[in-house]
Amino acid sequence: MEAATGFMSIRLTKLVFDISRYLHAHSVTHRDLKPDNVLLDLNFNAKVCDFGISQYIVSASKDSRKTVCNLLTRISYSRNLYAGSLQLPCYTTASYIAVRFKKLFLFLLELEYILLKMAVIVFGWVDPCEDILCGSPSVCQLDANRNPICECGEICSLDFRPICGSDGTLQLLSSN
Amino acid sequence: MNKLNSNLFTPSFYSDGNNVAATRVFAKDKKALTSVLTEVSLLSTLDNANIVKILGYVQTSSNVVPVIIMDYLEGSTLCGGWRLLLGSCPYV
Repeated sequence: MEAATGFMSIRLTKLVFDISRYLHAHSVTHRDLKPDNVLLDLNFNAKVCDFGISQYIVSASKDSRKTVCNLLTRISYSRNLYAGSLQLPCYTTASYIAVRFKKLFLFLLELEYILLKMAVIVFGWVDPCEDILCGSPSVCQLDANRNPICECGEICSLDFRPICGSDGTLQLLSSN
Repeated sequence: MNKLNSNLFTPSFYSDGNNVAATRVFAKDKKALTSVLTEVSLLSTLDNANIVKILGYVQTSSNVVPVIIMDYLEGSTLCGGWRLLLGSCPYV
């Protein structure tokens, strides 16, 4: 079974664009394309489902424009490609972006994948959080620029009870 | 067919031997039922390898919940693995 690697994400992104273009060519807007609505089988063949709020296109409405912009923003943010540095353009017709920007987005995704792979090979860098030690209640997380920061996890208590360790140092432990 | 949860059933065998998923649709009002009918009519016009196919739509009478029979995919959604691991999907 093929693993869901970075290359897979490129293939799946291309697939989502292809489906979007196919639907628009058939005058249908899905209006709810998101990872939850892409089903996978055991060979990582993807199928789009949940056409509950989809519509036939009468004209390029405000709704469909918004949905495509949301999708593009979501993809770029999820890959940490832009991290707020670039305002995504939203043009009048949805298909304009889907067709014209498809190659650009795929190229950027591929570039990012290659750079990541090179970083892994050259620097042995896998996880920015790997060498970060956080205090017991907080966990290492990535901020928008992929810098590791120590933040509270979900079950973080404000109540701290410092105790004395056997080596004489002061240890901070959360109450739970 | 084995019950999986309230409105999704595990695969049974269709006449050609493929697994299918049967979904019972609980439409609360007329608007929800209309969206179901829209989905069925839309999906029946589309023929793409990467879009789920509707194999059948069963409604015995007007006051019985309709059943949609679709392709069954063994894997989860793109978010499913994340939800299993982290409890939430980081990409949404």
